[in-house]
Amino acid sequence: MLKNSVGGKIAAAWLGLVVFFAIFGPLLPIAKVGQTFNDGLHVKPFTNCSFMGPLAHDLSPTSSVQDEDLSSTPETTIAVDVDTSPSPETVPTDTTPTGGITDKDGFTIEIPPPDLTSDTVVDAQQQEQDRLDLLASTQTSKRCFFLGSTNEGIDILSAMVNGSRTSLSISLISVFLGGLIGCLLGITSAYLRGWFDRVMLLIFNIILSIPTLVLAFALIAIFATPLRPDEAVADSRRIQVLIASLVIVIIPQLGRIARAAALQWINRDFVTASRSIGASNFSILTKRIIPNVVPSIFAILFLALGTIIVVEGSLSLLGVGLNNGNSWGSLLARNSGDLVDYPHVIYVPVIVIAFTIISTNKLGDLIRASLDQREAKI
Amino acid sequence: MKKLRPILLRLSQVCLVLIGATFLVSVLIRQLPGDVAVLINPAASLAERAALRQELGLDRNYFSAYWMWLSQMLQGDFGFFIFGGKVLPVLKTAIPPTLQLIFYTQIVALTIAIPLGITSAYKQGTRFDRTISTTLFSISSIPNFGIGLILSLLIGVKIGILPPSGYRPISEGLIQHFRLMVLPVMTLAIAPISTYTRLLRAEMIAALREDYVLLAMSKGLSDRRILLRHVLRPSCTTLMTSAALSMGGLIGGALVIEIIFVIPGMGTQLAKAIGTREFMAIQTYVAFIALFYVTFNSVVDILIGVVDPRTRNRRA
Repeated sequence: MLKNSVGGKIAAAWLGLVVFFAIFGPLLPIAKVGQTFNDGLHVKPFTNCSFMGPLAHDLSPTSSVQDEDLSSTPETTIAVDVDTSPSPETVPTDTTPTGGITDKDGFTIEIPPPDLTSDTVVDAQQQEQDRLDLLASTQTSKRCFFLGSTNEGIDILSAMVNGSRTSLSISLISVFLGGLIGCLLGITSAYLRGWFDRVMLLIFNIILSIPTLVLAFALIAIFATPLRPDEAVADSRRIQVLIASLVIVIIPQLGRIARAAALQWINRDFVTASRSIGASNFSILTKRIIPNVVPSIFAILFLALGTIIVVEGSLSLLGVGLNNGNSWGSLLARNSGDLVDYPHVIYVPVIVIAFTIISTNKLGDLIRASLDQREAKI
Repeated sequence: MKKLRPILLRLSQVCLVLIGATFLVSVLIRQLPGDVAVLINPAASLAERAALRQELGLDRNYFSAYWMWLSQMLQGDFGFFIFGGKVLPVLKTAIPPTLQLIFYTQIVALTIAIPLGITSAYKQGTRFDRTISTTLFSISSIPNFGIGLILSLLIGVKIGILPPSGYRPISEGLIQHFRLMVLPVMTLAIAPISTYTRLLRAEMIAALREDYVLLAMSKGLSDRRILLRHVLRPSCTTLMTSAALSMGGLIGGALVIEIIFVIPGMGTQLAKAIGTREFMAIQTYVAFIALFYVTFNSVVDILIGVVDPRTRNRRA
């Protein structure tokens, strides 16, 4: 299948790399540049890499850039991120919480951001200290900041490697579960026909009549909401709810496809033949129909994998993803406010997500093409 | 009457699906944790709370609460926000931007995809065809929020020829309205362009192998006439179905794109309502989204029956 396709080989290699990182990446801790910072103290990409880019001591110590005219995009993305995470949570690893981050996270839509006028002087001093700390830490550590760092001083490369486990496992688990349940329901209803088929189809249509992202969004917002607005929802619960809602969203889509695929096989002669020799429904389903339907579902599953990674990212941007976790989507969502001044925090996750999706789509296409060839031979 | 029968059947199915969807939402909304009565009036006494719950229908079972909501909706009462204000005026301002966004996107996607699809089917297997399909495949795999953020950064901020974000209704200046719409529409249109082009190319290649094309060629008709008259029309039905189906993706995409480009549409309002647990507003918004999606799909279905007589009686 991969023999004649260079693109397919590259896609498989990339997915292999991502899976490798997803398995072994989290064994390494997330590298941090320095302390937590108040405002844009990003390390630019390729810092300290001697073959290109600036050395750490070239970082200008007064590089705080104010967005003056064109800041509406980052502002709102932050605002939405904040809306649904009303809990003031600091980043788990930060030891000296400075004012800025908690302030950024701590307001909801109806409460304006706390006024910082009284603390400005202290804050400025703290910031200067942070800046010096950063400079010191980047100069003393000989580490190469290949992809730069985020606002929080997290090295993006290591955050991406770490986040691959969360992103990949969320999409793999939900696609696997959704595909399994969807296939079972779809194939059974295609085989049984009658009222069961009609009811299943109606349920599928009802769920499909609400667009995927809207449904997933609503489900997560409802089931991952804490009892009191100021309580936090544990990340593990968020992941469970995220996976469950993605499964609910996937089931009808794959179920309909599986049903249609199964209908093509059910009236074939070999099925009639095995029914005429008295085979039970169960054995016809497992031995005759499922082996023929599963390969074509497999191609769709790859496409679904890519879609789910995008949905996860979109949900993070909408503010109901893993806000404080380190999936690719949440890395993107948390840093989308720094887009204008430090675009590298956006480019890296977007490019990685795009590459992964191109790979899954490519592989799905190849599988489908090879299946079509097999069909043509029959 | 015989002609109307499939349409009526279709309509009854649509109604059933819509009732199911709104019922599903109303059941889901009830699962929101916490007591809404406390949220509305934290200082209320127990008796007042009970009265409030009764007024909102929170003490009823799922079916009766749904019936209450449905009858209120049908009478034009779309509920109110817990923190004050009616839902209806917000809904009225939120629907146009989203509809415009989706409508422009479909137009742009179709006007770009149809020529591309025809050309690449005509030049099938050439370098042009391969370049187009590879490019579209790669670009459409980039998640739309990524495209949105990068476009808004590159074109809106770095080059600065278009405003990076915002919304202006048509009544406040047509030019500014369209200037603001360019980037979000471009972002949203990329995925459907790729889908439509691929589909149209495949359909047209299949249609080009038909005997009637051979006949038309032997009659000496020009390539252009054959392509546009004989091949495009039968291929269009699949394109229309695909356009209807991609509506769901577009609505979901519009949700995110609206937030990235700060457009005060349904997506922004829904995000806001979910963030502040405005349960009545959520219910109304989701009901409207489902209504719009299902209606569009069935209108396209009926239109396809008009365009392609073969499909008219297939549905039962």
